[in-house]
Amino acid sequence: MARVVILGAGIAGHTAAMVLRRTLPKEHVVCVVSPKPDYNWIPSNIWVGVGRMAREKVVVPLAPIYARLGIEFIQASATEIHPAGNPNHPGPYIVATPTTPGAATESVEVAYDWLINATGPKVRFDRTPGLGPDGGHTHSVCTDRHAVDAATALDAAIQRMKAGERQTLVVGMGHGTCTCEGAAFEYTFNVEHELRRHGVRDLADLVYLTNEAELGDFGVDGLVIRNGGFHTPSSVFAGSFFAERSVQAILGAHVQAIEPGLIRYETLDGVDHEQRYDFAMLLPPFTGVGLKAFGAQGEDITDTLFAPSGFTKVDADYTPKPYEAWKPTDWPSTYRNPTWKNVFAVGIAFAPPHPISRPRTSPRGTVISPAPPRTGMPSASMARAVAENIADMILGRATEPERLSSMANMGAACVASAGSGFWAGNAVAMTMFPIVPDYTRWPGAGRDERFTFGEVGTAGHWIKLVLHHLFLYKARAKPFWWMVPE
Amino acid sequence: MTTKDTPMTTQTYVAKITVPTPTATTLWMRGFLPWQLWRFVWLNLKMLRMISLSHPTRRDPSAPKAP
Ligand SMILES: Cc1cc2nc3c(=O)[nH]c(=O)nc-3n(C[C@H](O)[C@H](O)[C@H](O)COP(=O)(O)OP(=O)(O)OC[C@H]3O[C@@H](n4cnc5c(N)ncnc54)[C@H](O)[C@@H]3O)c2cc1C
Repeated sequence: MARVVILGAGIAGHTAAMVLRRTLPKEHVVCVVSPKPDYNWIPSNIWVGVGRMAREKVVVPLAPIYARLGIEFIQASATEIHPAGNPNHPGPYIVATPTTPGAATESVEVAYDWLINATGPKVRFDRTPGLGPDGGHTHSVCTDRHAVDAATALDAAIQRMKAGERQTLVVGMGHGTCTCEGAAFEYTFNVEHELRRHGVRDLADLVYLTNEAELGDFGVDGLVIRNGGFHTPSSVFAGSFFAERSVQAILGAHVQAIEPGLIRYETLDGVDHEQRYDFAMLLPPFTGVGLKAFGAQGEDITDTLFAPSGFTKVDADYTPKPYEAWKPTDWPSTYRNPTWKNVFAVGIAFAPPHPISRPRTSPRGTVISPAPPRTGMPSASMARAVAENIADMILGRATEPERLSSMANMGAACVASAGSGFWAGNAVAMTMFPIVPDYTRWPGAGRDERFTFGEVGTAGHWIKLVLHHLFLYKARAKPFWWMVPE
Repeated sequence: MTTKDTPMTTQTYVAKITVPTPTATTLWMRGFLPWQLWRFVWLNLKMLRMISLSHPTRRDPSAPKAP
């Protein structure tokens, strides 16, 4: 009998748990440790954040699903990993603090034979003074609850406009090293749509503030999109949409501090600026969740498992090298920790070898460039591959991970809806293949032009709606859920 | 794409409109249902193909085993 423990029940962890449970015979235990009682389909938080979707529509309670599937669920926040056990606890185990309201808060020890870290990011609002909804002055859509608060604040701004007051709305990135630019891009155009729907667009200055040096970078060094008979750089493609919707863009910006009504930021040329705002939704930078690791004698071995960023070290090439020397093969394909072979990390939790965007610093040395995105589709794909590899090794079908799932060999789709309503919605649909460009295979653009395309229209909006319903169907483990591709 | 042509107090570094913008026909086509239905089918097929290309590859049996 083997015990597979999965930390986190987000897109990556939940996928891994369901695939493992479906693949492994019942004598093997699949156990999920996660602090929240719900699964959150984060991409639809955007719609919650503009008040167009109820929070309940983007969350799914986990306990009933896991009870039905036969997955053990411990509602707790993991804090420590003991990959070598210790004299009192011979095998490897993790330590977690229960988070069920009203339950005991004494730490629990959970033994494992195989461990998948899928804890996603720690949202680091603390990296920028004044950032974030908890004690700061800005809003966020990173969690379902943050999105609800953002919607309330946005509505208040809309009401002020209805009363004739001009408002400045700022959406974007709250730090020079943020990732998830696609989400901020999407939120910007959902806000723009709401302003028009409420008939107050002319009273709003809408500003997109980003650490990207160019529009359309999206943390992947931009794309060359096939569109309308042209190979169009994403800076032009995205820029066209900004121009069409009269959204101003502040590029190459590192937010230094936020005061009530004022954002202070530095740009790539090293100059300080200020931006006034009445409503701001700024995403935070991410790090790992801060798990610690201890050896058999209680010694701190965190650095064998985790990079300084707190993300888990896997089979990537972490040798520091300049942008020009980056290779697709730097990227991991098995997500296995090189020291502890029964530990894997998927989704945002794995440490990328380096960014994908060209690194940039201001003359003052401030890093202002996007961290690499690990969006939903690749997170779920790598989770499935890792789950199937572990199942094969448990069942004796393989001695090492046989399925290779690298972001340099995997595509991604970004569908940024810009408005709702079944018949009238619009979306910017973009796909790329692969996520990590390969200039040897595709000289010039670095990506396969057949699958790197973008267009705007209602069709993209329908795709976004289909994805919402399909992935929530899958998350609920309804009949034939496993046929829904990642 | 970006310029610093406004005073250095607020809202500097504003993107200039130096990009193509859609014509009235393009805007109309974006919401024209028969065309969009076709685009929906086309986009789905393209994405499915892209997803199938993204499936994990099998380790090359001739490749050296990990230590
Ligand atoms: C607003 C927004 C919109 C987005 N839109 C899109 C989109 O349209 N398309 C797309 O592909 N991607 C999108 N993304 C990115 C996508 O949401 C992420 O790529 C995806 O959620 C990553 O999955 P994950 O499982 O690694 O992390 P998460 O989904 O963040 O899951 C992490 C899990 O770990 C748990 N956890 C945290 N700490 C601990 C701990 N100490 N112990 C145990 N468990 C822990 C969490 O509670 C959670 O269950 C968006 C992101 C944001 C923020």
